[in-house]
Amino acid sequence: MTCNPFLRNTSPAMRRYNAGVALTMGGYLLAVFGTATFVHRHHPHGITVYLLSAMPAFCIFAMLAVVVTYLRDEKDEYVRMLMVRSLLAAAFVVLAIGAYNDFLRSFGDLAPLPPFSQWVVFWIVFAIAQAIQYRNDATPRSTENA
Amino acid sequence: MHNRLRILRAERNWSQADLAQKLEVSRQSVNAIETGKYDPSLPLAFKLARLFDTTIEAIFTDQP
Repeated sequence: MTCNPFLRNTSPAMRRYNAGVALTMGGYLLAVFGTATFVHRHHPHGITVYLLSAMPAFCIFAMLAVVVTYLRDEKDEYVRMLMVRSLLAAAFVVLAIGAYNDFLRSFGDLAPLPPFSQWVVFWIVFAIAQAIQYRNDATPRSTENA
Repeated sequence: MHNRLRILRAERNWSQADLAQKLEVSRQSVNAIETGKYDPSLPLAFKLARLFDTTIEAIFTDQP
């Protein structure tokens, strides 16, 4: 899920981004497993469920804040543009799948997508888009002086 | 958009990495501009012009 799959860009904004993503992703995994375990064992209800659900959701909001902060702070306009393209590609695929699934559910009596699948699809498409763009940009070191 | 970046860089014997360091961008960005994949913003174009001690028009043209 890192912004730069080949870690070639080491701008301060990118380093903060990578650290922020690692932190929020770690927090997210902890929150998900922690809250799931707690819910499984104690079967809470009422306000506790709302508070527990807010914990992993907060990590997702924080991850989005890390992305927004990166886009604000990145001085390299080309690298920033690549990331915006990848985010748009991810948003496009998620919205397209969501819309198609909504129609299937309306017309075909199909089950909804599993919970959190859109979030997972978003970051997978984002990573693929980044990898494709970076691969297309790849220039052999031997030709850089040409 | 066409540019003379590669020629200007070669005249000074700078690598893409050297130019990227002077511009405070990635080598990837320099390569993208050089190969015409990406047209830089005005601030970056001015930065390039200042670095090569020339005008933006002398670096970038809309005709080959």
